[in-house]
Amino acid sequence: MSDLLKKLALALVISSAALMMGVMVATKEKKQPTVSLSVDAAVSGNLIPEQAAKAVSSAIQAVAVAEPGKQALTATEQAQISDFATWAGRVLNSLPQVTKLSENEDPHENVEGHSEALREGAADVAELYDYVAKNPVTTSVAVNAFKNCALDNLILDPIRAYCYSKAVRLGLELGQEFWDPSDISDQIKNLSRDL
Amino acid sequence: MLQIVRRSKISLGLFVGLLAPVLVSATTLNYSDKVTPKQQQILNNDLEKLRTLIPVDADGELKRLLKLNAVSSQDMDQWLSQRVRYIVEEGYSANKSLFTAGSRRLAQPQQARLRVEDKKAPRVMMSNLGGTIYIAGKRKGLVYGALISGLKSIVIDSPRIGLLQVGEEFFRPIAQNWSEDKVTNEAHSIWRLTTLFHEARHSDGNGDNTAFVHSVCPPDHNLAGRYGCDSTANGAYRIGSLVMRSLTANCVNCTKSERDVLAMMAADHMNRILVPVKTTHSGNDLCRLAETSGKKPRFCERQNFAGENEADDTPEYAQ
Repeated sequence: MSDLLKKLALALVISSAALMMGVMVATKEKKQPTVSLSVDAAVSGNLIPEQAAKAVSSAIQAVAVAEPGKQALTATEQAQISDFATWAGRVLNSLPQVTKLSENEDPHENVEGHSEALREGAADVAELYDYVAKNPVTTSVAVNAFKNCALDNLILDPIRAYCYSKAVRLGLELGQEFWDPSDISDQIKNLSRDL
Repeated sequence: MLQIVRRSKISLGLFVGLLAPVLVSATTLNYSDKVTPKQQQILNNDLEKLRTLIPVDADGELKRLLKLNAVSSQDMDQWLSQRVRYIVEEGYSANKSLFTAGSRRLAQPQQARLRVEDKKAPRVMMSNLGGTIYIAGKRKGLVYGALISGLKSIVIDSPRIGLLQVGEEFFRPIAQNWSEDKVTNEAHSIWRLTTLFHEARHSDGNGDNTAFVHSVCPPDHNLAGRYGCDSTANGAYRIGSLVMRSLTANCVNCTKSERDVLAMMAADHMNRILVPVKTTHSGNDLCRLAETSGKKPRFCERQNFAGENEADDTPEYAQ
């Protein structure tokens, strides 16, 4: 898959996740056909990243008008969420992946210490979370981004563990159930306990 | 060397309680003159920093596994000083620098599993050459000596010789997009110190576990097929994980992101241990959160594995 396609796929995952949230809220409260259409368009794969970002934006607007009892999101907050969704998509897309040992590769090759891949990925996801902690308005989008990261078995285990931990913690902050999916191993969940 | 060590133990016994504080030694690194002055300065500053840090040992595992009298920076420094002594540069060639210092008969004649490679490993961060050379000699029934530029030659008659090779990568920022000036901050010191402790553990062990050599990671592991895991619960990765957590806990100058990155590195260490271990958790444990939300996930049901799957860490000496 080319880089462009991969980026597109990731952007769509993130944007559709954000849109789903918008839809859930919208459906529950007022029903927002505009958002549902956006979701359909995003999931169908017909959107380029810029369009996906716009779809996120419209979903945010839907949330802003649909949630009674909550203060409507300002334009700045909407833009902030949209930017965060795009950024999170880009980070997840570029996280280092597990590479299998090739036939020509020496198994004794030095793998002591922390690989550059792990360090880079760790710094990226930590930066994402740091931003969320300082900007709680992005929490909903972040929960889904971290869930996607935790579920992706091509991402390095310590990073998946971190993502799992953050998805659970942020989810609880939003009043969600404790997230305990069976397709994430106990080993990863156990690693996540202190993260 | 064996005789010298035995004598010092007897001396220590005579003065216990009287001179104990005086006998606590600090780590002194002897550098090859090909290790750059900047690298030497950074490592020496790290050791200075270790002496000011307040380590945390919530469940006593650090104290138990390092066999410390107390969990203090002084005791940790002393532990390190017994295992890390010489630092050589990334380009150091063991093949060109070794000489045969004598034949040997083995104290523990089991064959070690490590395959010694002569070829240069790519982008060395840090490795314990002393342990590797000791095992190579053991397999051939020889005691090797090593020439170190700018220092006198050393006889490698034990994995405890403490000869470490250090690479340029070790002195770069943890992540590429972190600024160069972070290299000397507290988080980076903790990272390097943790690596020093990890390598120091390779100066321990005997028989099959001489130098606590790493095992092949299993097929379902991120590093499947590579020698990047531990089959013992008290090997280099366990020590690294415990030290990382311990030093990070009181890192007052670490940013939140830096703490998180260090925590993921500790998790990486734990992920490389192939046997169950007693895990250390903070008050921020995810399972406590689960309890408050009325859940008890399966992964939170853990047992205490302390003392299991641990190898004898007594260092082996050639006789």
